[in-house]
Amino acid sequence: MRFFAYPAILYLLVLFYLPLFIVILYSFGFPNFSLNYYFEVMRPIYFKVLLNSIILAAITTVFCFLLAYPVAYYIALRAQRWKNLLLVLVILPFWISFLLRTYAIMSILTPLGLMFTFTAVVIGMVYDYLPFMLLPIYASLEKITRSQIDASYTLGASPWKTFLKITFPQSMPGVVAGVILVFIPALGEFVVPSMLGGVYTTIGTITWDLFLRYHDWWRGSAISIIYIAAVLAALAIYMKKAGRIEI
Amino acid sequence: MAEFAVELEEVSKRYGNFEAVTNIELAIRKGEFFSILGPSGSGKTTILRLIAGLIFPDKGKIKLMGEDCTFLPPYKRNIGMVFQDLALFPHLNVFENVAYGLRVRKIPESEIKRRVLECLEIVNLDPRTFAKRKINQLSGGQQQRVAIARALAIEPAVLLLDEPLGSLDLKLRQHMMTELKRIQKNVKTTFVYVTHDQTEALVMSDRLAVINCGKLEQIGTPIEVYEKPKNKFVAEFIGEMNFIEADVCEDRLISEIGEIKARVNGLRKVVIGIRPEKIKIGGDTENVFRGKIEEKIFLGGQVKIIVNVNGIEIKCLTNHNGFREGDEIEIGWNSEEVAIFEA
Amino acid sequence: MMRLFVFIVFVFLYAPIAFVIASSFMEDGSFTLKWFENVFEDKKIATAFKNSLSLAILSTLISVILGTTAAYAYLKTNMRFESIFYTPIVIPEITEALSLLLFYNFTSFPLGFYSVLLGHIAFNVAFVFVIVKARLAGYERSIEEASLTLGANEIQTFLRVTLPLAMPGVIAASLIAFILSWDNFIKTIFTTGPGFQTLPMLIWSQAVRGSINPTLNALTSLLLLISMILAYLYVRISAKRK
Repeated sequence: MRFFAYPAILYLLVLFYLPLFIVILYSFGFPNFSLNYYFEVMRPIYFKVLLNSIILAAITTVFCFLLAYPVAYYIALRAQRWKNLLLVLVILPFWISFLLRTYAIMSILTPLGLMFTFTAVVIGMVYDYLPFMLLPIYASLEKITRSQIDASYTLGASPWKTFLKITFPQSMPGVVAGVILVFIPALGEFVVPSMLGGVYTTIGTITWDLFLRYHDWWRGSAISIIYIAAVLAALAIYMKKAGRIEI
Repeated sequence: MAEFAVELEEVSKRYGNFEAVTNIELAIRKGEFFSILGPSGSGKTTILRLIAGLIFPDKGKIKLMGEDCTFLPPYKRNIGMVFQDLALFPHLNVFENVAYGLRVRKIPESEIKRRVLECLEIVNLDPRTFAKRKINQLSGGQQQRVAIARALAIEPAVLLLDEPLGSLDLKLRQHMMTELKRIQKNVKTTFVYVTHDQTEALVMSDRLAVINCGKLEQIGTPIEVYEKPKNKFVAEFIGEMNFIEADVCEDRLISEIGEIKARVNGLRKVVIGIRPEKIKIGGDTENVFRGKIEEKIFLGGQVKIIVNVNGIEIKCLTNHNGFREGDEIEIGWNSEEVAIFEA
Repeated sequence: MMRLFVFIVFVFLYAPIAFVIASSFMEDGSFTLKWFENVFEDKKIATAFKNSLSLAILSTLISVILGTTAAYAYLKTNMRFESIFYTPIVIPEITEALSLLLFYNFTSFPLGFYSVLLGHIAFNVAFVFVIVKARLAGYERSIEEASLTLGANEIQTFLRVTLPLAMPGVIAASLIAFILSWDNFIKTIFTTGPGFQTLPMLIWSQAVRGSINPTLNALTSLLLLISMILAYLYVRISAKRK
């Protein structure tokens, strides 16, 4: 019976884990050995790119949060009659591929003359990543019952105090999940900066250039390993926190 | 000082075309255990939420301790509330849940501690065991008590309870009824208790109001409401009742079971009501009727027999287990045991 | 107040989509189906469509077989290390894409349809595994045991009980795998070879040059429609739990 699983496991080992291993090899200078590529990648020019990516990802995350939280709150705790409909409408864009959504933003920004600016890139990023922030936050808020909020009122807390002490704390797991689901992939994003920003460089666009244009496997791998390390670190922190937070 | 803890004057509330409650007049005395009893959808929870300030009336005034607070939000009213689903805060432990209202009022820490411990003891939860527990680690009955302690901690003038015992099993419910009564006597707070279960209302209340379709049918002590129901609805909703239609004929009533001695003025058709336990078996009463036992139901301490008198089924209650189905017997009652309603 | 904000956000979400759809029916202000005609007559689009379709179908087929059997094996025998299947889902797509490219370069594997296909399958197997396993986990033991006590042997139980029960989950997973392949861009563009183009690649190649044109809008509208149909199918299948 167990061997039923072997084909799949074998497949993943060869076509997922082995390739990743090869990336590590190249990052260390395969077929030679060298740490140079890591050092090169930490130089100022690459550092600027890293900074760009972090700034972009951070701004995207913040705006996604600002837009998503009120909407998630409204649907989870206020909407009542239209709740199901609104939920469907919020999930729908999720089913449309990233590329198509980015194209749609592009098609509306072009006649508005907003293309190839940093603003355009941010708008595109927020547009693409919004569902990833909204759904986890909604899932957390959903668990809070209306009667908890009513109870808080009868105990003397104003609506704002109720939000601070009852609602927001219980939504934290969702917020954290949303932040991770947006920030980490946004760091490595290249579709949006390329289509909407033209020359705005990020980790993603640099990776693209290094691999597909310059065939520079070594520097590309070094950057990628650093990126993956950051991702895994963030995930590890989340796993630790999630163990303590009641989900 | 105000005489009444809660007053509702001509209060009405509607949702769209639906009148949830109409023209409610209520005066609940300080320190009373007052119940609002009615079937599902009768509007009793609406009244409670109006008193709490979670909803506002379309017409009428609401006063708490003599002060008009019709449109005051809940956090400005001196009330506490125990919700049907308890609404405990899952991210806070027992201590913090009970302390919540006190923290919001910025009460000093030492006083908070004192009051929380006091309230936990009032509801019979040992603080040493329970204070740090998470809500999901408690049983239904324990959660129930935390909800009550939390509402009592803020020392409200009025405590509102929305069907709090509904989800408990029978034995626990009976236990909690005694507990609630004891707690109320202990803290002397006015309790306003909403339920559809007549046992709860009759056992715990000093006075109760029966509500149906948004209108109050009768207000009185449990004995008053049980012994002297004002109309057919109350008579039927509380306890069991036999209803017999009759035509009025001077000093007696003509019904399908025969002549009934009773004096009725001003009506031509009536419905009389007689409780099963008030019917005596044997011929020793003012009114006597002959009938055949159709069904016998063993209830444990008592026996319920259904007697067919001229085609009308009369429910009777007796301690005697010797009767058999098919027996012919005599049943009857005295006039003062009978309630008379308009047809 | 909040309602207004929510409304604005929804407008923000749907305006671009509405705009694309609307403009694919417009020429100089009047209604036209011209752009859709272009779409259906364009050779490049037709080729890309065929490529996308065959890619999606094949990757779905293979990944569903691999993934479902693995899920079944894990469930029945309580195997460990199922995190092997979770990593592909968690890793950023660009990392996966470039690792595949390096792999093909390292092994001198030719780039083209098959290099893309193999990459898609790797990702889809993980997804199918996770979905099917989650779906089956609820039912497994007691239902199969009931069947055995009723007199059916292992094979009969598998055919008459396990398979039918697993079907909705397998179909749901298939839909997901199909959508993931059909829409996929990043892995595809990293692992593709000369002459092989899928629909997403086609849209990208024109859009990245900044040339928004109505024909592209029309194509996008059609693809949006397909996404919606697939989403609807998934919801319907998911609803059929028992």
